[in-house]
Amino acid sequence: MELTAHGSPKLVGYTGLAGAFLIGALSLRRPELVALAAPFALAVVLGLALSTEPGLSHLSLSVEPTRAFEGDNLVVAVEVECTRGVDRIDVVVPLPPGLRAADGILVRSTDLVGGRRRRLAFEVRCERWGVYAIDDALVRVHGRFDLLRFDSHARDPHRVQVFPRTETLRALVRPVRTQLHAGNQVGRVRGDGIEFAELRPFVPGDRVRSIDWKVTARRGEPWVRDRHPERNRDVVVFLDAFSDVSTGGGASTLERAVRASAALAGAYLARRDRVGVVGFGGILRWLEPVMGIRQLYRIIDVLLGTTVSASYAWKDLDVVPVRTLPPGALVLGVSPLLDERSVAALVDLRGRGFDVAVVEVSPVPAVPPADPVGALGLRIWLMEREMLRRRLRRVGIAVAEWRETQFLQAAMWEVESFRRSARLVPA
Amino acid sequence: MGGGIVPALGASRTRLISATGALVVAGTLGGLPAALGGNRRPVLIALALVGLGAAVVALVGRFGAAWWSVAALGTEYAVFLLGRGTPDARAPIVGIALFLLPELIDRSNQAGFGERPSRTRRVVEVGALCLAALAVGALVVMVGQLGARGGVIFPIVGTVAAVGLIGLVLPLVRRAYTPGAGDGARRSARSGLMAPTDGGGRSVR
Repeated sequence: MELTAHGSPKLVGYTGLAGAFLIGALSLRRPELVALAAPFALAVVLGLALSTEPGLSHLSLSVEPTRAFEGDNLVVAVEVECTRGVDRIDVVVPLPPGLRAADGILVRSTDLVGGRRRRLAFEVRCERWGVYAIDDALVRVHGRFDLLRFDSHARDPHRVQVFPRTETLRALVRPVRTQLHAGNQVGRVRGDGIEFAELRPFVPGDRVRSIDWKVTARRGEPWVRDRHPERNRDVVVFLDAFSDVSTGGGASTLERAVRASAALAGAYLARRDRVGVVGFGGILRWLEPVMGIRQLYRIIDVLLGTTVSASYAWKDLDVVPVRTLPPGALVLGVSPLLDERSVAALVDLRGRGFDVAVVEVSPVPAVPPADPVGALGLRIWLMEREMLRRRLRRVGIAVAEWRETQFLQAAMWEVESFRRSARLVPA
Repeated sequence: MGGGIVPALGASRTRLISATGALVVAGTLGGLPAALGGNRRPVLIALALVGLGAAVVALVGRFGAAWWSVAALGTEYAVFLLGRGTPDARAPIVGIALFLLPELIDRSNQAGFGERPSRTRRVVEVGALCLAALAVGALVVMVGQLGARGGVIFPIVGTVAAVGLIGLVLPLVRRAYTPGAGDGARRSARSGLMAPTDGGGRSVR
């Protein structure tokens, strides 16, 4: 265990005062000043003579748990053991932005009995989603009279994943087409299912079990009952990571977009749908649509790594792997609609026959500018954005603005309402 | 609603008692010479106010001001002594009070960190040091009182003792310091999480 010894400010202070009083005694010829210097000089001599290396025999850093949700607390603990007893030992765990000490105190101090292991625990609050590295703790052992200090580091790499806390969604955007696997969505086709579709006369080839005996008895000829099958859906969350804008509120557009994407993925997966994700930005990330709870954690893993990487290269759908976008999938764009590349990609997807809907993470500032020129600029910009929305709606893409103060559910309802009125989905 | 962040009563009490003690010590050290100062009273009062103010600043959290407090109060005492005949017999007590001032301030600032065994040990250590310093100071003053009648021989002995003391301290300092080390300390200082440190250090395995 490597320790680095260095003098404390007290050593400098005591030495300086003792020297000053002694020089004063000599120059003023006053022996009383030697008496003033005596305690400081004695403290320095005894402190340096008695301060010995503390013999740090054990130093470790642990983090529990390594997966948490926003707002949860983690326990970061440092275990320390010295061969000799020490009066004071300080432990500091530097925390990355996004994590903070729950009680606001970053330093823990205690004394140590020689040969006995001591655990110093910090409760750490997860403020923001992300992946964090906690791999270093600074340990400082104070020598006798606090004149010498011995520093060491507990280096133990730990990776903490903080998942975004998501909103519970009751109603989701329904896709135009369903897939072949069984699910919770009533398909528009006829087949084996529970949901009633219609009654029609019997034709050769119909199964006997499909005959509606009551209607048959009334009509005097065989009639069959058709049903809609329950099918699953393919949903691809299209996360725009080209831009990140702070609106002056609590979270930036990318933070909110990631939260919304996680909420959407969780809600669709809970309904037995296959969900994939495309992180469309400077760095492309993707995950093919799969169903199940494990897929949710894979998606969150991809989302946690989402950052804005500056890129001026033009990117279109050609860079997205084909299997990520299965035919007939519902593509749910989560985007602030600020970058032309992501808007063009969404329009392109619609042009290729995909069912596309967009949740626009509103980048409109929470507080409008006070000066008239700024206010005028904001009005023009808002009109341009409205034109962009209309352009998207004209090609059949439902767009709903999601402001920071609103629930995501409201945006979902707005998207669904547009799709019903545009007759994209049945009412 | 819970009281999760309410600090322990013991820590607050220690902090309060230590801070009050430091202010009493600083007030006494500043007030007595000023009260007995005669025609130098304005200068002594000014130095006492500087010392007391610095002590308050140090108690607020700027521990570095404690050294300025001790220096100001020590200077006040030195000014008070100027022109007096025989050495002042109260000097050893003043010395111990000056020594206790930064200790009390430090104790107040760090209240609640240590547990009872180490606090007790620290008090015992400081008490023993004060007793030793009292003995040394009393000896120095006694020798000074003799020296007032002893001519040049005692100043020479005092100078030799001072040089001897420096000779004793230097090897100890050299033992503690080895230039080139101290990366950890510097890193701690840069990170701002621990108090900045000065100079180099030595690596111990």
